[in-house]
Amino acid sequence: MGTATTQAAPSEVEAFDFGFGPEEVTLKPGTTVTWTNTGETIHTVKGKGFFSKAIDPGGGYEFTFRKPGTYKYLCTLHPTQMRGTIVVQGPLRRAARL
Amino acid sequence: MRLRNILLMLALSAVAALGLAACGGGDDEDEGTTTAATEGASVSFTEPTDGATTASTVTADVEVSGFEIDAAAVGKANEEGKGHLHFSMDGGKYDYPKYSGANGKLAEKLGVEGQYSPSTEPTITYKGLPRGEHTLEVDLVNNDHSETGTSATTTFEVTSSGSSGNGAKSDSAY
Repeated sequence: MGTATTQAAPSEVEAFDFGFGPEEVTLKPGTTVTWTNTGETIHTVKGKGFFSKAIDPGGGYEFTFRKPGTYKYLCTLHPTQMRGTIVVQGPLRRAARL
Repeated sequence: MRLRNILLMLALSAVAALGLAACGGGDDEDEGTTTAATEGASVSFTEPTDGATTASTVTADVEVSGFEIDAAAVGKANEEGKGHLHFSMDGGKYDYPKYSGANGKLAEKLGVEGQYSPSTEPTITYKGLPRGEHTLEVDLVNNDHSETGTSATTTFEVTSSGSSGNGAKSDSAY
């Protein structure tokens, strides 16, 4: 309790002028993240393996994170101001075979 | 006599100080606004002129005044009177590398292809435009790509293949 929550439900991230909120999201593999542009200018979401291209104000972009890892991303138009991180934490499973 | 002069100078100084204070009211504006002030900025097309007929390769030139194009500041915090240009052909229909070359490649890199072609030079070349009427818009934009509200448009007609304009090309970034 009191630590970052690991979510199974779809996750929402706001892309505003000029930042992402929340900046860091922790979720389970298979979770779909939806970014919504609540700003007044175009934004993008680009990270390793995903690129939204231009998101108009009021528009959105979805990406499903299937593999555990830490995915840093940014807005290509405002790279010095808008950066975020998605942390995908999978269940630790070890093969039981001997 | 000397005392009168001193009093007169003090009075004039007070009036000048009041005037400066009145002009310095800009600090009261809301913080976080996305638009830097561009008072006095203007942009207009010198080529192609409105109503011109051109070939399928068109070099457009604009004249910018009261606004400094600063390539090094693109993507950074806004600065008053500084920024760059966004060209948009037919609402972005031809803002792809195939048509706007290096500017289109940058648009693709930034994820805004099909919307506009960024430029840090007052010129851009579009190639392979189909015959017919086209409208090119240019916007003066802030460093963060938000619009300043100052723009210009020109409408021209492509009537043949080949090149039009002065032959310059814009390979600029942003």
